[in-house]
Amino acid sequence: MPASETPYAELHVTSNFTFLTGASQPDELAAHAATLGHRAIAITDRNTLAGIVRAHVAAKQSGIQLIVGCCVELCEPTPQSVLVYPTDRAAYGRLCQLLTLGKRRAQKGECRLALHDLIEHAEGLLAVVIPPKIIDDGFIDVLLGLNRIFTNDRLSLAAARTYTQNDTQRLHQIAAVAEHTAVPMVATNNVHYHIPERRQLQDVLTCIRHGCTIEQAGFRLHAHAERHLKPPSEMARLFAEYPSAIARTVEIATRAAGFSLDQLRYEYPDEIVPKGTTPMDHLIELTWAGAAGRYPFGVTDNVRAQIEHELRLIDDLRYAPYFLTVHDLVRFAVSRGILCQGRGAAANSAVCYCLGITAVDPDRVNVLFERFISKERDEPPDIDIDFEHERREEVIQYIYGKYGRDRAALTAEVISYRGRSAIRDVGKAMGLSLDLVDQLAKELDWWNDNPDNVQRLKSLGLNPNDPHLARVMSLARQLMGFPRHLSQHVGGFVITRTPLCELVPIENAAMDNRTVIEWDKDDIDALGMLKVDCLGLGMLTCIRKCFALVDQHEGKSFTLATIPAEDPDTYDMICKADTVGVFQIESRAQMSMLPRLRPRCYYDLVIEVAIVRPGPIQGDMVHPYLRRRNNKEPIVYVSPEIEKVLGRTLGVPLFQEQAMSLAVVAAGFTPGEADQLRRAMAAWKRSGKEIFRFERKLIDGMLARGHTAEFANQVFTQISGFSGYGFPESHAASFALLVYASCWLKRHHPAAFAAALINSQPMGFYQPAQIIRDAQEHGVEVRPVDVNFSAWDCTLQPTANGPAIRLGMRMVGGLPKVEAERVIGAVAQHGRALSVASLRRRGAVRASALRLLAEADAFGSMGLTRQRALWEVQALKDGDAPLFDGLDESGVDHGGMDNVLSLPSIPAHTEVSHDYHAVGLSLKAHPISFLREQLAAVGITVNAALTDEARTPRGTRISVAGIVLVRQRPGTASGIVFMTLEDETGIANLIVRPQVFERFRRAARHSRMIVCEGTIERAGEVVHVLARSIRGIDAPGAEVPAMSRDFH
Amino acid sequence: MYLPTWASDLATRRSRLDRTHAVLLSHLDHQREAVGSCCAVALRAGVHPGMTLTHARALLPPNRTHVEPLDVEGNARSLRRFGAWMIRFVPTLAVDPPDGLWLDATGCERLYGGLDRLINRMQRAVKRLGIATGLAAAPTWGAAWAIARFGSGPAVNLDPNVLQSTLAPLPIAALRIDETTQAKLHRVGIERIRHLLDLPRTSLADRYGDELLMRLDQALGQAVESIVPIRPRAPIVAERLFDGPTDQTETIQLVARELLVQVAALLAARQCGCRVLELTLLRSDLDPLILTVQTARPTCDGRHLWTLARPKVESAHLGFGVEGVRAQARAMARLSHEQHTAWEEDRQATPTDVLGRLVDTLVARLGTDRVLRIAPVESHRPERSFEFERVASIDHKPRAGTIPAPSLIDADRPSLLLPRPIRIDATFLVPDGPIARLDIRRDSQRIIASIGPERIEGEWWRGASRARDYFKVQTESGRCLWVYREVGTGRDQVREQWFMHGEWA
Repeated sequence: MPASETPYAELHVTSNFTFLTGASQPDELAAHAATLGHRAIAITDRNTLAGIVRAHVAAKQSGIQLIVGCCVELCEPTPQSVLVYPTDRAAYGRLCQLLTLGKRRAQKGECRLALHDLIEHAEGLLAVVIPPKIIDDGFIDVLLGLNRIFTNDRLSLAAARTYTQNDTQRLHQIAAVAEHTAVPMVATNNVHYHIPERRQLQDVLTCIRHGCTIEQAGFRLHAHAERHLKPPSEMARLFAEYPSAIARTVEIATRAAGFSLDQLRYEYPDEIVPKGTTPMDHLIELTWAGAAGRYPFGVTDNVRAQIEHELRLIDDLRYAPYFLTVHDLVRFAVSRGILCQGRGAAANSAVCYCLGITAVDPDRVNVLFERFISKERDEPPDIDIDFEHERREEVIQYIYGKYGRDRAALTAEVISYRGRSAIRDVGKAMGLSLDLVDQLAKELDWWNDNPDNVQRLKSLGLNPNDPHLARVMSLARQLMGFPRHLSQHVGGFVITRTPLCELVPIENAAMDNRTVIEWDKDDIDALGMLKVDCLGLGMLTCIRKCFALVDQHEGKSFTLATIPAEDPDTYDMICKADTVGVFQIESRAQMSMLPRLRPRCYYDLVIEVAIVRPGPIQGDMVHPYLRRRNNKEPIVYVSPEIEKVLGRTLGVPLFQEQAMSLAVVAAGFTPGEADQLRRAMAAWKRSGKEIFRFERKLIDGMLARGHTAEFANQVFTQISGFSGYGFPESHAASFALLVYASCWLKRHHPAAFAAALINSQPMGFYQPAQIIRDAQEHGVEVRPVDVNFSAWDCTLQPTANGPAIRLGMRMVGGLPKVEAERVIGAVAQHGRALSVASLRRRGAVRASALRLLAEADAFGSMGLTRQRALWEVQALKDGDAPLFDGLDESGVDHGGMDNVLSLPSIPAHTEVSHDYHAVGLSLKAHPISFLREQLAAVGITVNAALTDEARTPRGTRISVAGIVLVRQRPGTASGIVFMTLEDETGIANLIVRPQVFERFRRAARHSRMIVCEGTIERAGEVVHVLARSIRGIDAPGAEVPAMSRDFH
Repeated sequence: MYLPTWASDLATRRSRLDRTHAVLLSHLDHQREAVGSCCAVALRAGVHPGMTLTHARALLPPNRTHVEPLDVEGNARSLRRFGAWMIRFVPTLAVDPPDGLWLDATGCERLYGGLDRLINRMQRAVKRLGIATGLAAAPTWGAAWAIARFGSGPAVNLDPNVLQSTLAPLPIAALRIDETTQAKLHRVGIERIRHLLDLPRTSLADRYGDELLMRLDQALGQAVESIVPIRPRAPIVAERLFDGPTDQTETIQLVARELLVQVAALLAARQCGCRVLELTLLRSDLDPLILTVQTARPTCDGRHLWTLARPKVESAHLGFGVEGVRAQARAMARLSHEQHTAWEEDRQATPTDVLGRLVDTLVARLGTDRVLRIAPVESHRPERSFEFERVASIDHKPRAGTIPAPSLIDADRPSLLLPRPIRIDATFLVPDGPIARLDIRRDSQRIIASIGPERIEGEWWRGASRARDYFKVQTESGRCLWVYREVGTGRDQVREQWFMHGEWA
């Protein structure tokens, strides 16, 4: 019988969102069911709807009906699985409520539901009961009970071929039960994967779930590969004796068609609008009020026209509530003194500037609001708000407080298997030793099938043709991209007017006080729901702290908007790449670009932020841009439309928006198609291939419009280069503002900036040691941690030559804040402490805290060296109640201060090494300086010599040494590793080719101090040493802790 | 005596590796495999205990590196045995796990003509075993320990007066103090014993406890320290020599039997049972003949031992005659205590006892490789769902992680499984219908009933194999057969092949 003549719908499908059980993606299942000619397909994951949106999108594309469903596992009174399918919007809401109920009362990732819970939410749901292995009277009672609840013929009894010996009997038995209870029987195939070839992967998943190897798994594995989607004709053959069971599937599918995810209508919350006014009126009022504040000398006609235009567009699209929601969060943050800054598509509008969402003056960037909100794309505009990272939690709790936990929740983030995690889990399941699995995970490049892997396998002593190993590799590759668990998105909030739990199930997050919905941002996007991203940004914390320090010590108060704009001194500093610690343009790659790009205005910074990204680099846009900027290449535009798109960036597309506009202008894409292109670019990492769907269309479109094939290919290369890494202009504009602010602070208030930067750690690219060193080079005095002078944070102390930085106790490794505060409190109350014992008595400080302070050499003001201080502290016991310490005035201090002690002397390099271990830096000397004599003796140059072109011209052979600060292997540099070395005179930038890296792997990968021999390369002010050999010089007794940021 | 690479030396010996091989002994440390101990070759390559195995491997040539798990208990047992072996040099010694021995050489030097010569001899003997040593002699245990590990020379004979100056330059680790104390001392720059000697004792005690001072005093001979020597246990052996060679089997048997009863009594006194027993016939013109008897459970029943030994003695080649007989328990195990009753006849052998004796008897008659039993294996594949294993001992606990095979509890499996499936031909009346007829080795059977199919896929991780559809069929004559058809994977309908795999008896 041809497939089309046997209508069948698969109703029991476990996708890989039932983690470590299903072995196919929801979209694979939906697409394959469509190919096989199923009438419909349900996705019924265990106690979750997490994969349903993806299935919905895929089903729509392949033109098959998706039945929204879920396999509800009841644990009381007896374990029982029931498949449920909502028939209308209300029933779907009840299903979400049911799952939320079960999840909220269980731990993260679990769900506890009882039979009576299901009964309470049964209205409007179709149910299919899955019979247990042994059908007994208890089960029949449950079935009869459910039958009374699921009235109106809504209950069915599932029957599946198990391919065991007694299949026929079992089907008979189920049929008999169905007859006896008057619950119709329905055929399913209990699908776990879309094609039988996935059985191996499913077996491996079972092993991962049970934590066993494939050899040990035994009966936990399925005996056969029959749990795949079968053609309707085959299902009809298998249930030839029960045709009504096949017909029942279609009946259920038809009734379940009453609900589709398309019916979910998102509704904005309404409390952001005061009573008696509409959101739009309120927004207009707020905008003009804000405009008056932003433009104290009156709003220019230009700006007025812009604002009016934007407001009209917002009104047309009814986005006013969205802007009001964002504005409300910003207003809250400002009222608490939390620094924040909006970015993203809609953020850089005049309206947002007036509302205080962004500090980017629309006059300074050429914003076309339609680029960010288009009428064709009927989806909410995108605004992310960055808050100070240390205070973001306050904002999050404000959202929960304002809208309630039933209406606001974080979106989920689907954590998927990536190369390393996949090979780890598959390798373990396949019985490889932990050791080998580790090696494979570390050594191999899992992102692509590159031939390098074969070489690497050989170098590990493995045979790449070994069938077992080949199987492991192919299974790991299949597993990549599978969801592993749900986590919470960093800050994406969904806020609704009606209870959220009627829209999507909510579960507890791993973190206390957090609730998370089951869908991730793509799902939310696909359904057109509002999401506000509240992200944490360390630089905002730093800038706020810096403002506070400047205010406190110099009496000048600034905000992001009042920092003097376009300051030439600041740009001079940027052009010299003197940007350690500032926002974004501090990385090695950015710093080598700065002298070439020479930014002189705000928009140059926008470009600088966006250009050093894998997208523009892979699309080969950097060099053409630089050539044109330096007038070495003429700027030509193929057509005036293209000039309009690319004019700002000298004809080279640098931003994601430009890529999209280019597709519209040059290839005749509709804005909707351009948006699909954008999605394909974003999904690059996940699927990898999608972008090529657009290749033909784009190139044909461009040829049809009279462009040359060469130009068309070039544009496509550029666009595909953006995939996954493209940087939108809207984000770059917001970032550039912070770049400028941080640079300005660094230029004009270096001490405050360095102190604020350290007080906001951990963040950014550099360790405190480098920040302090940089501050010292800018003439800032830095004073060590001291119990009598330091606060918890780094502070500024006035001196004749401007403020000096006093390092704070937060630098002391492992010191708890409460203990530090006791010390600070004791000093504040009783004045300067003169001995360790008195400090301990006055402040009730724990001996362990004093020990940490002693290790940090923080007793200098008492005249104690680190060694003496430690000796004193070692006599104190933590167990002693300080109360009795106070009574015992004589103290336990036998080895007291005035005893003549003959402690061995400690060499200076050891002191420095101890400084590094305890505080992360040393103000005494640079570790390399102790080796300098030996290094000089073998002809090793100081790094400072590199800046002197006369001494070290291009091509000179040179040897340099230093502590490794950074190791980077950018994905765009074909395996080249960039390393930065620091010695007492400066830094040296190394370029290490893969062959050299492999040859000197041990030193190159692990050593903390190295000597590198190589040739000098110069390009303008940028100096590199092209490494030829690398040698570790980790001297005993002078070890420094690992301080480099490796491969991030 | 310090054994710097004891664990890896043992591994080298056990695996008969040559000296250029690097040996790494791994142990699991916080979910990662780390190097627990390694040999001198590896140390020279930069490996040190505590680094991850992956890192260590990267430093060594892959084909000349041997890795095995570190067996701490086994190494300690070997250390005891090694200690017992060393008794040939000095009478009193103690083990100092994990890697040392204390040897009390007081008075022994005279026997060897000087301490140096004793040390030389010991060093040479141990070196022949392939074990690296550091030896030192000193007036105190502590000093000897310190010098053996941290001293410069191989052996020093010390005058108590120069003890202090010898110890002073050694690192503080030589004092046998815990790592926390060592770290604390390092923090204030105290690296060597000399530094400690310069500091006031009270300050030291306040900061680092009495242990440090005690160790210092013990090393310097200002505090006593004693060792607990190991005492080798006497072997359990009984021997009888005849007046002259005899070839009278009855006499030999009588004596052998008597000796076994004696051995059994010695075992019972030690509350041990014998697992391996050697009966040696000292033959006049030939090498001694050693007859070995193994038991599945430890036993101290002389009669039972004789039952096992008797057939061997009966069939022994005696040559011109036997001059004597010796019985010795080679391997022993502790016996569980049993409540004795007043009347010996009341005591009934437990089923395990009886089974143990049966197994012993069968093994004694047939040989160890011929007494096997079936153990269930978790596998869907019928021919892999069990395995034969040798019956070494019937006391052993069930293997961890196994669950009873459902072939015993759930699915219907034939009582007879053919060692190899037989090719058969099947005939159907209608396509896709029930089996009508099977031809098994030219014997055609009409089938009156069949149950199935039960689909069992191959174990793909063992290589490619095809899925099978099993049927339980009943023939006209009443036989119940288990037959299957091979199915191509990927549903390609190749020509079906039929096999018979078992029968219900």
